[in-house]
Amino acid sequence: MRRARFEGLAQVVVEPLHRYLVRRASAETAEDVLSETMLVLWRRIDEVPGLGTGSGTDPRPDPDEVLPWCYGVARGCLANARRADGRRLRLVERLIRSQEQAPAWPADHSELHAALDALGALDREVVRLWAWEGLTPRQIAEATGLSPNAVSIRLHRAKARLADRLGRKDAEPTGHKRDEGRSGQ
Amino acid sequence: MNDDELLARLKSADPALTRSAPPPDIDRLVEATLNTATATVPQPAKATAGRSRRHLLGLAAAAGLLVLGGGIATGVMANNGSGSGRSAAPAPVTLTAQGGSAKCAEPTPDSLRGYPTLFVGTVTSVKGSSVTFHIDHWLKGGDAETVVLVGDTGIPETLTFSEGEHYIVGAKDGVVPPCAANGASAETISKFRQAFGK
Repeated sequence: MRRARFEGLAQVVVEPLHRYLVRRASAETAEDVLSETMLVLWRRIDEVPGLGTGSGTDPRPDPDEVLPWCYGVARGCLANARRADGRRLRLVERLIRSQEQAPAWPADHSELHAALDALGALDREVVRLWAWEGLTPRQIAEATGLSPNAVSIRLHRAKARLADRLGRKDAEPTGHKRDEGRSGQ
Repeated sequence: MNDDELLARLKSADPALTRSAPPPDIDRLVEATLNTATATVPQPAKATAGRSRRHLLGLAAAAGLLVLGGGIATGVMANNGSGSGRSAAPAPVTLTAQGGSAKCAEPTPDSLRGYPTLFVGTVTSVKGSSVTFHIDHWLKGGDAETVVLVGDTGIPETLTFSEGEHYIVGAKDGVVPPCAANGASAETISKFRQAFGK
């Protein structure tokens, strides 16, 4: 029963969780953290909101119900991995990461990523969960542990800041280099 | 730039669209998770890893007893009451038992003595494959007030507990093997309490 529930959950969440991690870490880190996340989900299978007791005929849960909580677990596992990495290989890891990420972000998105980087870590996460994972403020609250109200406020402000930054750049005729954008701040 | 434009711009910059990471193999991941989970579960302090399960039980059938057998994977979670002893271990323990098909004799103090964890409990709720016991008496190794038994089995009918009934349950390394959980009459229970001095 427990196993069947876990398998049903895995069918629904593995791919979105993998995308979540790939958006935030190198491919290798994403894979490691995904395994760790699945272990946590197995251990805490009884706590997953929206996952029934498994007595129903359809073992597959509703993604909208289970995913925000699972994103929260992945987020925690990623933070743990980063802390561990930081202790071990702070410099090496950073070098590797910058090499990996540079070609992955096409030049025309560099401004956007620079604008995202200028946000605080939590604001950035809220914006990414909204835009890339497609979560509602209530779901973002579940994934981050913030209150829905706090999420709405953060999201609103972060969007305004991003739009402001990007809008200003768009107005500049040669505003394509991120260094120029930074120096203007 | 309005919300929709911003959203479109963010989406077009989604690294998942461009990063070349192979999609995960879900089945392999599930298998790996379950294998790792069973291999790394913390074991109770009193567990003796070397003891073979065949020492523990494997008896013949008797009327009126609960039979718990046939490929059942069962775990015990101790819901901590007073917070000391082995029940203070924070993580619920779940392991997979390699139970064969078994018929079980009426338990005797000697037949269950080999378990580091042994209690007399009353079933307070049965939800799906999870059974909650109120502990009447700890015979060995534990001090929690409630224990949750999680049956992880493809054959749910082999795991039958009735609310309000009394059971004697033995576990080792967080696993309740076949024949280690038995319905018990008042007479049997008093025999056990006497034998274990509880």
